[in-house]
Amino acid sequence: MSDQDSRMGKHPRGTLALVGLYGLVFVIGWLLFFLLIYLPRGAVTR
Amino acid sequence: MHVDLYEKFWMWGAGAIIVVFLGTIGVATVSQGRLPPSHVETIDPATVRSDARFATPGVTTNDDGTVVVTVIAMLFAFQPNEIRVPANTPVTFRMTSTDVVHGFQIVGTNGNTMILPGYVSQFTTSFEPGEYLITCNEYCGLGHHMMAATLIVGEGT
Repeated sequence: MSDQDSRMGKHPRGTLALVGLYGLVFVIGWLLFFLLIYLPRGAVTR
Repeated sequence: MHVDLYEKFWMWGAGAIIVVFLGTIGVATVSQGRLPPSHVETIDPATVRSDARFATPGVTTNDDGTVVVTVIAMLFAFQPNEIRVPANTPVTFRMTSTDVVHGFQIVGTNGNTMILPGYVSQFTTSFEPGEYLITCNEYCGLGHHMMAATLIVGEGT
């Protein structure tokens, strides 16, 4: 016998959408910094 | 084995993010030769000021036109506090610490390194004309937020 609430039989789509959107914004923002700021500054010589 | 559709979303999404971030390391390494620090030079932190390499911190211009900036980091200041170098010229920064770990970040540029007591940190880069803030970006104590210097880059300076 399961303790799971029968109303929770399906995945919470809204949560998936919100977390997915957060992840997408994070990755895109990170890449924008990488491509537009970090790479154009170039490397130093060690 | 049955894997739920949404579980697949998470698995493929997480896998893709890992690939993207690892890819950025590869891009930076291959396209720009960004590598971990390779300069290894030691110094006794107790005798930094009497060591010939750091006895006179400041800017030195060599006969071949290259510029070397020697910096001592300490609680809670950089010596020298104001650095003047020429624009679009390779400048080699050589830094060490007399006490704890400090950071050396020239804000808005690619100049950024840690300064560890017992070691000489070194990198070479060049700058566009302007005035840049140098900050310590490694928490070093109660006065950390006041640890800053100025880099002035201009023609003929």
